[in-house]
Amino acid sequence: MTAAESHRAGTFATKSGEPRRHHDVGGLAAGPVDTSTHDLDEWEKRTDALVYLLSARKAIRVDELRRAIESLGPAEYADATYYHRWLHALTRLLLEKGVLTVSGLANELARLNAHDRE
Amino acid sequence: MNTPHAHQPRTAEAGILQDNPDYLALAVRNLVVASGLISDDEFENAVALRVPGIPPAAHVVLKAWRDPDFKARLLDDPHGACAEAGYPVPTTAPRVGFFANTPDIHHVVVCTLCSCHSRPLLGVPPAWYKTHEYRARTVREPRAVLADFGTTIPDHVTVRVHDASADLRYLVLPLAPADLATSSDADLLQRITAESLFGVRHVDGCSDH
Amino acid sequence: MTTTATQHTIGDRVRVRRAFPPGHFRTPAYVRGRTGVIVTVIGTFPDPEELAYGRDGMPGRTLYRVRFNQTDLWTDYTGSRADTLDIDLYDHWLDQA
Repeated sequence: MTAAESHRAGTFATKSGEPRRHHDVGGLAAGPVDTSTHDLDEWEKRTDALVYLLSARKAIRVDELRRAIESLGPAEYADATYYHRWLHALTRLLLEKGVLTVSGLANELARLNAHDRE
Repeated sequence: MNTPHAHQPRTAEAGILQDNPDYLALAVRNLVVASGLISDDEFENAVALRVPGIPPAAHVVLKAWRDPDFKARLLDDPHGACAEAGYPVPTTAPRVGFFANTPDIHHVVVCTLCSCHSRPLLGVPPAWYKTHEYRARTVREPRAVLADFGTTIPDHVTVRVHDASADLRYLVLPLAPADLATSSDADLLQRITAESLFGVRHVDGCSDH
Repeated sequence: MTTTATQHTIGDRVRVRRAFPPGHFRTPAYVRGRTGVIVTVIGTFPDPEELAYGRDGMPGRTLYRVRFNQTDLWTDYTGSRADTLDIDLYDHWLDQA
């Protein structure tokens, strides 16, 4: 169905009964803001660069990435940090689009691990 | 696989490789470069840019402080004004908007759904902007969130929160400091921080509302 | 397949639709069912709910800036009664109030 049709269908309650999705956090009670700043780790910079370069190439759209992040599921969303979510969502989105393949990713991860152990 | 600049991750830890972000980020990077979508040099240049620095928007704010006519143009046509100042927002990037703080109103920016921001004008946003706590509480208790940053807005000043929920990205034009006329550009640029551009702190040296 | 949403003008009072669908959307839960005022007609943009699934989001939807009194959004709001919240919302989420 289109998004518009889902609107007309009305209210959906999640399993918990809460009518909101897990990324939709505006207004929830929460603790103090950690106001400290820190530089990005190398993998975070790589993740960030990948997102922006791939968006500039129009290989991905920001709306698709947001949807992919929201699709991670409440447990993963809550446990993962911002850039973990980006990296996992980006990876899945690229698999969906065929930029990556599962076997290609498996091979490269194994290659890096083997190289690292040398 | 031809990856002349492939970097090595830190010492391998026990666990599932794809859950190790060092490995996964590097693997994705290498495969994307191998696919031809992005060149190795482009990627390395992009990573090298991701270091702390003065946000481009700080230069735009400084010009607005020094030139009231430019400030009016910035509020009316932010893209034209940013280009005029030498810090253009690419046409492929989301539209931007500025909200000017006044003695009567104080603006605060948040994106509750995901932490949207203007990358061309801000650079990499600070970690606090992306936290659950900031995204959850700012819309509901902005004055308490500002207090976490040491900022108190008097009751007679309206606080207006902007939830950047759609395709526009917002920044605050903070109040100018009392010593604007006698301060150097270099000094002022250091004071126009991401905190002031999102509205959680005044610029140092700013007299309260 | 697209609905024709009511078009609004500056000053219109609007109520955010009380729908809670799955899928991708840009209307947070905290404004659902709440009433605010149109302060800006921002323009037409491709529908992000469609873009999220790789479709082109056309014809676009009108995006509005809607202003809410904080005391209308939160029963326990502790700031000034004059405090407001502005948020950008798409036409198909807004009914005439």
